[in-house]
Amino acid sequence: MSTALPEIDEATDLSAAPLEPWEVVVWNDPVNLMSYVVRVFRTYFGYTREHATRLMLAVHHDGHAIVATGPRETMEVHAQAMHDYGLWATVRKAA
Amino acid sequence: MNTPPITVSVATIEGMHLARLVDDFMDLLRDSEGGDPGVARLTPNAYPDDDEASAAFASATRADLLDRRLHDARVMRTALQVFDPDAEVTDEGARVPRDVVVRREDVDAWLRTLTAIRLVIATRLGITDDEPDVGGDGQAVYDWLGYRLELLIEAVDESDADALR
Repeated sequence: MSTALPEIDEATDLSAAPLEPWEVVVWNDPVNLMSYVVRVFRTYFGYTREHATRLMLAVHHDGHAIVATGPRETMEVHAQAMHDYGLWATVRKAA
Repeated sequence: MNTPPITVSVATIEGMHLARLVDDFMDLLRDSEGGDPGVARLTPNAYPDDDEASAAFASATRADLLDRRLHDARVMRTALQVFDPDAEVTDEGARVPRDVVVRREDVDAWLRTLTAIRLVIATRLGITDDEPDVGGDGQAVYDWLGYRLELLIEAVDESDADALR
């Protein structure tokens, strides 16, 4: 016996939908000034001065920092904006 | 809210040098077919581990990105139009300070252009260190641009803080 109505698949759990997060990574470079990097993080992402400074120091000391996480398309927009500011940004799937 | 413009005082000779650097930068952007390593630094590889995604990102963004660099540079050059890089100046005239007005809506264009020019110079000089020691006129220009950029950031940050008070 068949039915025209779709059966509800009990295994379907919307909360488990593949919302794979992506991230924007900014890498250290010898050229960009610390004050400039803080300003970019602060004005572009709207981060507080404290948070922006922490991220800048992470870039400086650890060589890189994850500055944003979210859908791939959004991360590509952010990476482009970072490139506009002369920062060395890459996009990757969050680990 | 209306934030006042930033006024930067530069010596006439500095203004002429800045104008020349921006002119040269615009020439570089217009002539570049992608072969210049300095210009390549302005359009970094967004996917170093994925050639396909890298090429797709570059083809979708590169031209627009360089167009925006050119637009920013034009904005900055307009504010510097009182300076003629080819003018003859006496030593005394070279030192005369001039006020340059940076409108608030132009601040980012200035910061991005100064940064972009430093990136191009750094690439050419092979600067790989925070405290470079390559010497010569190149580094003198690079250091001076860094100093100018730092002053502008300080002035803008201060003005932002004032606006919040």
